[in-house]
Amino acid sequence: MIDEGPPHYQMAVDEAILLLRGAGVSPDTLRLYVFNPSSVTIGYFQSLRESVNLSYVKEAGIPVVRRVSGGGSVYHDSCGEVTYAVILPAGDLPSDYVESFKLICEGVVRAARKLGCNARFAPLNDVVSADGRKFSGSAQARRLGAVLQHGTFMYATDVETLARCLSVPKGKYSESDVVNAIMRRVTTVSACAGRPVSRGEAIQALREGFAEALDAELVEGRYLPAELELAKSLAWKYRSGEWLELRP
Amino acid sequence: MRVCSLVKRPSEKVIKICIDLSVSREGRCVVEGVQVTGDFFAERPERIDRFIESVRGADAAGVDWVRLIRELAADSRIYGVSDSSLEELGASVSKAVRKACGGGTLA
Repeated sequence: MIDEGPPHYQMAVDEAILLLRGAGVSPDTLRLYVFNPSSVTIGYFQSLRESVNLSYVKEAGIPVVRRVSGGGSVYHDSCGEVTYAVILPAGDLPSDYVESFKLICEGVVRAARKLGCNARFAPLNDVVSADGRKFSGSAQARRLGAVLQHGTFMYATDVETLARCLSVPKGKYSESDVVNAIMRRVTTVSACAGRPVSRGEAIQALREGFAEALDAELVEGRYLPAELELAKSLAWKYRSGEWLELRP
Repeated sequence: MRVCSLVKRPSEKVIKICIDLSVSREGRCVVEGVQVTGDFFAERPERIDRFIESVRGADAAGVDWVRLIRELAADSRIYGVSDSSLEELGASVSKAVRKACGGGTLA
């Protein structure tokens, strides 16, 4: 079952499972979810104003939330993107960071290939098409000996809206220059595969891809009461202006 | 005044440090605040926030920024940025602070 919900909820659930996995309460977890409404998330260390086109997202009514993980700004299209989260003990992953990203991103690579897109891992944290255009980016956070890696799977994202959300004019470059530059570097699984890919197909491919890459038997489950309780108390943080403006 | 330095190499993450400086009554160049931003990763992000607190109020010209940034990267376990980029960042911050502070007072 796909979990659809607003950005503060999705980020709170990811962090709650990370903390409870670290505490030995939650099991190893693969979450597949959709941001609804479409949203922008930014990395823990990013400057809000330097990473998001604030005037555009305000006008378009697109919420922005700061993640607990590092990495860059991301547009999550409710009609064209599935987000994955893998939560595991750090000890179950390679100690080298590139290798740890690569191992989990292998699930995304395999999913894309099942859908007809010849994908490959691009260090540190991207998955790209054969011509090097990105359709998946991932980020990690590490707490209490556990690792959360979450990332995008853009099966049919509206790439122009993505580019407008993330286009922050830099120096001599105008907003339209930046939009065009982003659009040249980004693609979708549908475009890569040369056919429309549905959300259902994307989810099924991700399940199979992660099961193979992590050599895991996936058992569908529900959130633990403790996970939901902690997520509820963490959600206030993700809703707060103070957290969003942590680095203005 | 604010001085900023950043490093961005292909296939690496961005890390940027901005330092807000002011002049004390004694004419010293004082660190008012520090902002560390970018799309890098850190295993212990809270150490970066602690670092920011630790240098607030310090004599900017008297701080060994190269050593401090090296220690910060190791302590917070920054990844996605190479050691050589962090060294370059430290040197760049140090140079920018020296230029802004002149002989210890803001130029």
